[in-house]
Parts: sequence; structure tokens; C-alpha cells
Amino acid sequence: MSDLDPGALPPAPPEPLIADAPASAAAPWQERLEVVALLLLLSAAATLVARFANAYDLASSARPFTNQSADLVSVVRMAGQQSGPIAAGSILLAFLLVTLGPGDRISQRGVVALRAATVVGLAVAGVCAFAAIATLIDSADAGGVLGDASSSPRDALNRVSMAVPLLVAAAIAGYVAWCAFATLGEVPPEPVIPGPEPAVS
Amino acid sequence: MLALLLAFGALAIPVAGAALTSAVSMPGGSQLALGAVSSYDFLPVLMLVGALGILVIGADGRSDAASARASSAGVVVVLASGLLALAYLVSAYQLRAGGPFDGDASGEVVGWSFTRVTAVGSLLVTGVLCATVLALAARWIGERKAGRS
Repeated sequence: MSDLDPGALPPAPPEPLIADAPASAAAPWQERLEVVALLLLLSAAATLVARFANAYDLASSARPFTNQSADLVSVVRMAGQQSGPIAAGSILLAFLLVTLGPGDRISQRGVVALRAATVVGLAVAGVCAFAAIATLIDSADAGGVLGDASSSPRDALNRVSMAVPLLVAAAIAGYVAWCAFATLGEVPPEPVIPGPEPAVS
Repeated sequence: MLALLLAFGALAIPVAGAALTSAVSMPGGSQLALGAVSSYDFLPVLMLVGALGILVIGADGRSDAASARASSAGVVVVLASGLLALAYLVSAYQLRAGGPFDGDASGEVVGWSFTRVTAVGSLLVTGVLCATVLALAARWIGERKAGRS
């Protein structure tokens, strides 16, 4: 058996990207970059929440003499316009830090970062897409609806220029969320420990 | 080179913001920190983290000239992250105690509203992120010096 052609041997199975070993097996700088990615995602989420609160406050104060509540569509549109593209960039950068880090494997902290990137990415994609559609359909800055006879070409151009960056941010955030979810799918299955044989009576 | 450009951009943006708002009078003398934070918002933080990632991930196989540029970029990242961390944490402190959120347009005290809590929280988290980048960049420079000697 020793004269077997080594080229005839089956190739070794690829190593999983995510480590099932303890986190100390990964390179130290990989773990440090994963901490930075986690903080970046937390900061992006906190900024998004702060923008929502600020937009709600502004929308509420715009109707001081009416008993109506704030217009939620304008709240989402304002928050998305203020923080959507930056939040999408943060999610993309956090995903790249985790997956392109100097270590061979992603530690458990990186898995948490990927899960957070999935959740925050989907949320940002939803907010950006809704804000873009709301900007296209009905804008507070210009009267009428896009394509309506009352809207001038300048208004239409203004709306499109505001909506296109939001659509791109939504696409980036959604795709990064999908990539992070697909990377999480490479977690190796739990090893099956054989139990005692059942007694046969 | 890209890391150096990103680091210089992350340093220049808050400095320009602080300089632009230095003439504005605000209660509590908080105009410098708030100007550094509010100029272009979160963009300098993204540039800082990107520069740190480029420095760490592309550490292998650099030529001497590229290695010198990387060392310079590391120093600029330390300076910029220190400035941004200070600006974010000082802004969080100002908004917590007597900053521009202390009163509304009519002069009435607002107190701890949800808007104020989220604003202070986001400033704190971003300040901690910048401080972490500062610590990691300083450690990266120290490890490079220890590896050479």
C-alpha cells in the first residue's frame, strides 16, 4: 500500500471558517478585530435608534396644536435619510473585519458579530427601503406624487436623488445581512457522542 | 497609502468641524466637542476603523517604504482616535449635564427624555469604540517596535 500514487488520494476536506474549538485557538488580532466589529455594530444600532427618537420628537413638535400623533411615515423617512447610508457602511465594514481578519478561524465572538450583522443589516435594509419608497411616493418637501401631473421635473429629480442613495444603502445592508447569514451556515454540526446500547430483554 | 489617507481624513474632519463651530457660543463651552462630533457625523469613525483594519489585515509582505507609511498611518490613527474619543465622551458628558438639550426653544428644562437618553447612549458607545481603536492602534505600533528590536 505504500506505493500508492499520492495524487490519487482524495483531497482533504476544507476547514470550516468558523471555529468549533475554543476562542483562544484563533489569532489574537482576529479576536481584537471582532471586538471592534461588535462595537461598530452596537454603535450603528444605537445611532439608528437615536435618529428615530430625534425624528419622532421633531415630528411630534411639528403638530403642537393637534391631538394627532406623529406621522410615522415621515419619522421613518427622516431617520432613514439621516442614518441609513452610514449604518449600511458600518455593517459592511464590521462584516469585512470579521471575515477578512488575520486569523484562520472565526471565534465565538465573531459568530455573535455575524448574528448581530444579520439582524442589524435586515433592520437597516428595511428602514432604508421604506424611506426610499416613501421619498419617491410622497415627500414632505414637495407636493404631489412622483409621476403626478402636479409634480414638476425638478421635484421628481429631487426625489430620485434623495431616494437612490437610500435604495443603494438598502441593497448593501440586505446583501451583507445575507452574506453574514450564509457565513453562519458554515458552523460545523455538534459531534454525536454515542450513548450506551439499549438493553435487549 | 490608503490607510494613511483614511487616517488623515479621520483626523481632519473633526478638527475642521471644531474650528468651524469655535465661533458659535453655546452653553457650557461645549461647542468644540460638539462641533468635532457633528461634522459629517459618523463618517470619521468609519474611516478610522477602516484604516485600522487595513493596517492589521495587510501587515504581512509589506516593503520597507510601505512599512514606513503604515507606521505613520498608525500614529495618525492614534491621534485621530484619541481626538474623536475625547470629543464623543465630552459631548456625552455635556449632553448629560447642562448641554444644549437642557432646555427647549422656549427655555423650559426638558430633563431626561427618550431623545436625550438615546443621544447620550449613542455618543457613549461611539466614544468607547474610538477609545478601543486608540488602544488597538497603540498596541499594534508597540508590537511592531518590539518585533523589530
